[in-house]
Amino acid sequence: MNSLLIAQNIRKNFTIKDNQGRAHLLKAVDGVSLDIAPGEIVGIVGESGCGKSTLGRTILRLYEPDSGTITWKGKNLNSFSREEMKALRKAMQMIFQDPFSSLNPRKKVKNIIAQPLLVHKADSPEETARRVEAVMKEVGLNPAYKRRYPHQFSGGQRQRIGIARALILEPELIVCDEAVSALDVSIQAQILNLILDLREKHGFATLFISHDLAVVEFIAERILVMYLGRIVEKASKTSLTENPLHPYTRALFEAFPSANPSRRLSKKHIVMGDVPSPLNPPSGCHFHPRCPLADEKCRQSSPPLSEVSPGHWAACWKSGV
Amino acid sequence: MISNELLKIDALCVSFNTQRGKVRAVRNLSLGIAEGETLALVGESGCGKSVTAHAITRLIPMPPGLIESGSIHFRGSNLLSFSEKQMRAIRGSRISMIFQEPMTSLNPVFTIGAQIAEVFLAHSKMSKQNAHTKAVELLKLVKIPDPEKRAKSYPHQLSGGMRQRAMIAMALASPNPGLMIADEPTTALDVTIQAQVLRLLAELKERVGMGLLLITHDMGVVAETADRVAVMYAGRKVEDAPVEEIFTNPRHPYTLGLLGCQPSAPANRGAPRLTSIGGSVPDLLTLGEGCPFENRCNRALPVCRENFPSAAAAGSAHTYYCHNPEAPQTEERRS
Repeated sequence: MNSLLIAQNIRKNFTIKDNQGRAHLLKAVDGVSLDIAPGEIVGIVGESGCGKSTLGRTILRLYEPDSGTITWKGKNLNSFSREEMKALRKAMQMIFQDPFSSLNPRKKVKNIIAQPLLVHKADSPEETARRVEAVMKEVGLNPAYKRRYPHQFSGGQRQRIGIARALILEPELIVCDEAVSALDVSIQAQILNLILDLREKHGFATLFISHDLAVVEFIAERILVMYLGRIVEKASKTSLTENPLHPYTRALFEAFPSANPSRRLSKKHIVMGDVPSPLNPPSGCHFHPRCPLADEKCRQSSPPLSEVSPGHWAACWKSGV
Repeated sequence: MISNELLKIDALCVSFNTQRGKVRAVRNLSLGIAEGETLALVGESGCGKSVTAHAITRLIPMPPGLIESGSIHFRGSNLLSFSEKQMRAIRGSRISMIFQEPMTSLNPVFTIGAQIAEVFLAHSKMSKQNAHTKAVELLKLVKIPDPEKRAKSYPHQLSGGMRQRAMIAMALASPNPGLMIADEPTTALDVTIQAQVLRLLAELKERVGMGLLLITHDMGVVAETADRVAVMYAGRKVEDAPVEEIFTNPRHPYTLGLLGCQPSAPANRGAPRLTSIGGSVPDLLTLGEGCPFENRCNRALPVCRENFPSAAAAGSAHTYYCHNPEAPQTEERRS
């Protein structure tokens, strides 16, 4: 048992009121389990509303899970007090999607990056200044710019500031929630390479959440595919890309534009229909209304996530278990 | 050059006056689209691709914007010489536009059906009843399920994919659509919905026989839909070629870099790091007369700083603008 973090059967519901004032239950995360080994990069991929961001936040206990347990190095986080949780947060950090709204526009860069050190009362002012400069250099920012404000930086540089802020406490787990989605593709490549370089040097584990299959496929070692609050498939990167088992995973791969004009979508089978509302998900397997293989069993009962081949799990009645 | 030319842009220069000075958003841009052709205009934020689209439809706010020079010929007549009244007759009938975020380009207080019918009523004489029937027909054409009912829906009652279909239906609400300009039409959509919308656009283009100017930053979308590709960088066109040529034989270092940093590029499969372009896009305010890519280019020569190269041809339909281009790919290396 050498997992850094184990989440078991996590559920997170939100109550949404409609315009008549009636409450509806939205099951954002519906019984998800995952584990992350030290230094591992786990990718979560799924379309909007599948619960991937809620899962990321629930794992850090930024949202309290409604049920399920989260274990950090063998200790159950549910029993942690506020003080213990605060101390633990040093070890888990987050990088957000939007480098414009996740940085305080009224603070200088050096103060933004130093904030985690101040919160955790880690160092003397001199030591803090030294560490800020060191981490700025490490993420490719010129320390001479430390007195500038976020608006004076480009989108890619701002994302580097966000990474520096996450890195300064030397965390063991970083959750990247769509960390490169707002960036231009040439900048996206720089940031992905930077995350890989830093991981190699510091050895932190990463939970990489994205809607972009190509990005997750490139960076992650293990991939979880989510659809309407549930994990439909999880496997190592090679196993998932070479042999996707769930029809939704296959649909995602098919729909993804290939970088080759001679293999166009017009020649492929693409999945039809919209993603159903998570407020009112279909019965049984959530994917059955869009699935070409669905039959009566799929409409009636939800398939469990089961191990089809070693390390390769799928939640589908048709995956040949 | 092209006999059945639908749109021809010649030496277009567009600038904006800002507090910090004059920004030259589009510099000396020439483009052509043939009848029925799909041209993809590709580039990263701030490269001038959307400004070009707005210049064609004359939707650039002036001031602060200014079309400094050049011409935009649509089926032989120069749009830049048209009066505002003449332009209004063209917009929505001969040239239509669809935008990235359908929620902000649809009016939230009118039903989808009423908004499509309005286009018919603005450009031709017909009864309201008739316009509504035609709107429902268009919703059926873009494969919106249950079109009679959906015509009575408001934009917020539709999903993102359906809204974009409604926008496409509106763009088709014309007796004679010649050119559709699609500005990042699938960027806000999920990947399975994006695939549906791209296929729909290709089918409709075939059926209606219109030209399509597709503006995107996504090389995957380009590979899926385009006949020809023009790559822009910091206001300049740097390369223009048929889609297979762009992917197999790029000559401008920026085109090669843009292809290389896509995580889905063949060269990145299983690679420990992505190929990346160092540095970032230069500030348009401070750009001189040289090649704008010079500061990030690994093939830059002293001359690149001095002046922007003139067009060079690599085959009949392939032009690039580079002093020190990449070597051409031989047939063996392509396969």
